[in-house]
Order: sequence, then C-alpha cells, then structure tokens
Amino acid sequence: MTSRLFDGIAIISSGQTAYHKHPEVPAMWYLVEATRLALAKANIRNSEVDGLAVSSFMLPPDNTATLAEHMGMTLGWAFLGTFGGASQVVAIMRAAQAIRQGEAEVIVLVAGDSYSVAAHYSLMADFNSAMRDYVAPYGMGGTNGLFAMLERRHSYDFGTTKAQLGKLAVVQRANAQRNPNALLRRPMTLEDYLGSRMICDPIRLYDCVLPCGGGEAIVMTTADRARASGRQPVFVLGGGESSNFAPDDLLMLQGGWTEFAPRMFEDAELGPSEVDMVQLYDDYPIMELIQLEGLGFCERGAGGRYVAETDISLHGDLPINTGGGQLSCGQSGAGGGAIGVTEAVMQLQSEAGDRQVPDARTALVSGFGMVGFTKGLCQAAVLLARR
Amino acid sequence: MDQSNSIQTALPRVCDWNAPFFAAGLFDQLKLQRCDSCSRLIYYPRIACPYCMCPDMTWETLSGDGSVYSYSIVWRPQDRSFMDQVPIVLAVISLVEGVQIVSTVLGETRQNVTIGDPVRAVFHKLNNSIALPKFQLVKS
Repeated sequence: MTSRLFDGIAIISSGQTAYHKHPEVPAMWYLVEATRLALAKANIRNSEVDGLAVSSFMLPPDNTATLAEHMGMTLGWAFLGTFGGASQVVAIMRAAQAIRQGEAEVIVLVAGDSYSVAAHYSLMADFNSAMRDYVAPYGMGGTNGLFAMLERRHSYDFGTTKAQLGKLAVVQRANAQRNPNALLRRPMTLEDYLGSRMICDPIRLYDCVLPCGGGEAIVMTTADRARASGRQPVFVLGGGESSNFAPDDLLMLQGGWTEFAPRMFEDAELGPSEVDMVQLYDDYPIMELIQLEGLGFCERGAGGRYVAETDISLHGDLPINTGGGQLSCGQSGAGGGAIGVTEAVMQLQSEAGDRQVPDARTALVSGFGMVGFTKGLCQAAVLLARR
Repeated sequence: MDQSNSIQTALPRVCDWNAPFFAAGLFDQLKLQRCDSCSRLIYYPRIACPYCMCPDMTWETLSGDGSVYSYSIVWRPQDRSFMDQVPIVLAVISLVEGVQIVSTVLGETRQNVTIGDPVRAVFHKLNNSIALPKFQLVKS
C-alpha cells in the first residue's frame, strides 16, 4: 500500500539565474531574479503567489517574509529552509503538503546565494558551534578536510579508487559542455583530474566545487492548475528526509538515504533501475557514492565499482548530474542544493537543449547539507516524473 | 606540553559545559564527559547526554591512547593563520576507551601516518584556559 502523500500536486516551471564567479550583487538579487524567471515561464503573476519557500545562507538579516515584501507577494504559507544543500528538496515535500492542505495554491521555492571563496570561508568560520569549537581550532581545511577523511576511510574500507571518483567529475564536465549556464566548461580528462593540485589529501582541486553567485527557483501548484496552464506538469512521486542520522558515524560512511529510500521507492511504485536519471548532491565525488549506495543503486561500499561499471553519460544507463552538477556549474551556496532540482525539472519539461536525456520520464533528486561537527547532517531525496 | 606560540585566531568559545575539556589539557590530561545515567562516554562536550538526555555527567580522565581512524593531509587550511603549520594532519582518532574525537597528528613524520596507527595525546596550550589535545604517532 502506498501513502501517495504528494498526489494532485505538480511542479509547473523552473527558473535559473546566470552564475557569477565574482558576484557583485547580494543574495537577494539572485533570489528575486530566479523567482521572476520561473514565474515568467509559467505566466504567473507575483500577485497570484500565496506561498514562498526560501533557502539561502546569506539572506539574513532578511528572511521569507521580507523577501515576500520585496517581491510584492502576500503569503498564506511561508518556509525558511534550514537544511543547507538539502533545503530545496525538503521544501518540495513541505510545499506539496501545504498545497494539499489548502494553505496555499501557488508556491515559489527559491534558493540561492551570493557565494564566493571568501564568502565560503567566512561562513564556515562560524557555521555552527561544534565545528567552530571542536574542529576549526585545529586548523581544518574547511569542508575539504572533513570530506577528505570520509574519502580516505571509504577507500580503506571498500577499495574505492581515485579513478572511480574521477569518472563522475569527468562525465559531469562533458555534460556541462552542453550546458550554456555552467561556469566550468573546458574539457577535462581523467588525467587532468588525477593530476590537479592537492588541496586536502586525498581531495584535489577537481574534487571541489567553485563557489559562485546564483539562484534557482521552481513553481508548484495543484495538478489541475498545472494542466490548465498548458505546461508539462512534473509530479512528485515520493520523497524522504533525515536529519542527524547515525550520530556516531562521524564521517558518514552511510547517510539517512538508507533509512527512507525504500519507502520513497515503494510510494512511487518504482525501483532504482527504473529511474531515467539521477541528480546527486555533488559537493565532492565521494558524496555521490554515499548517495548511490544509500539510495539503493548498489550495495553499501560498492559505489565506486558501480560508477566504474555503469554508463553514467547522457545517453547511458543512468545519467548522473546531467547539467554538470555543482562540480562544473559552480556552488551558489544554499542554491547548490537546488541545481539538481532545476535540472530535473528542465529535463522532464524537455527544456534541456543539447543535454536533453531522450524520453526522460522520471528523475531522482538528492539533497545533502548543513554540515555540523564533522559531516552534513541533512539528507533528502524526491522522485519526480512526467506522466 | 607543546609550547609553540604562533598566534591562532580560530579559538573555541569556552563555556560552562566545555571548560573542563579545554582546561584539562593545561595539566596534560584528556578529560571527557561520561553520562551518569547510561554510562556512555561523550564527545564533543554536551549540555545533556546525547544518548539519553541525562543532564548529569562526570568528567573522566582518559589514557590519551588511541589510533587513527581516518585522516587528511591539509595543504590549504581554511584559516590562513594556520599556513605556517602545513601540512596539517587532520584526523579522526579512535580513543581506546571507545569514543572518537577530531584532532591533528603532530611530529616530523606525520605525513607517513596510515589508518590504524597508534597515537598518544599531547597538549597544545593556546591561552590560560585552553590547551587542545593533539596526537603524536607512537613508534611501535
């Protein structure tokens, strides 16, 4: 029996700003611009919006209500994401429930930041009390050092190789070359990846994302209204979230996806092998393996071998991060966790241009974020589909 | 005690429930909380036990012995005031008493570290209320 939590709800459009390596405008600009683009695509006026979900590290002192004031929206439902790179995925589930319960009819979900290397360091220096008090005083390498320890242990326990991880970065770069909005589009070979500068051994430069300014938005409404708009509705088949899973697994060799993925697939009446593409949260390639394992695409520890043995290209068996992901697009702060959502919606609405996955009908989007003491504490995923 | 005196800007905020941890190092001791109710050893310092929410915990002096669970050799520290210490060997240490902490491995041979290597705590004084436990490789 399935719960069908998200029946009758659809995503109607997406909006994505340009990405800027050296942003000269504040987070607010990216959030407004992404919202404007998504609403224009759906031909919906700001006055018709009655729900708003926002995820942004650098929006304070502003918030959902003040952003609504900037954008001339009167809200019956408001949400401020506190799940970092999992926020936009969590927001999809929250918004769907709000629409079902009649709290709102048209909801904009927007995420973005005016991010840069300097902004990243400044944010991480006081990101949370445990990291500030018990990790930073030792001279950590930011998140690079933490995920380097995860990669080292995963390799030690399961034999994961740098070439397996590199395949993800290289294939995503090839995808990015077909994405005019990606910041990093120069060709990259496995040799380039393996030879890139060492940052926090074993994490090298091309394991890391480029902080940038950017914003992502989608519009959700009732399925009836979506159909009436003449646009291709994208439905939410299932989803799940987890915060602070397995607290004593400090480096997170297993994430909360393990806990909720079986129910998510059951609700969607799908199996991992029936998914047409996966948009993973790729702050580092090692995290993509943890997600593939947790989501059930392969056994625990087998992520590296799975990637090596699977055609993950645009025309392959399981296309991964079809727009290039954060590794090639850039990471727009909390907007980084929404890149996969935008990309999946574009693919399912046949708007992906040269990188369109042929006959794409289902997509899995995974989110991950809010690093605490030593690891990202929040994991989420949704299954999206056109019908 | 390691008396290196480079100016460090990234300092922990000392408060009621973590002060004994940071102060213990001034006396070359590694002290962690143990829950009075469920008897679990706890890291990092907490207001209440994260396993059972009991507010009563007792500070216990540990051996300082452990082994390397994982590590990264950090060439690009986030805080540039650490640049004179690179490469910094950031590590998760499994203490023999059964809890893990995050720290660094020190010493000239630190880059030769591998997973499983035995280590022992040494203490690095930052000011009159804080000395951080760090670890030296134990020659076998």
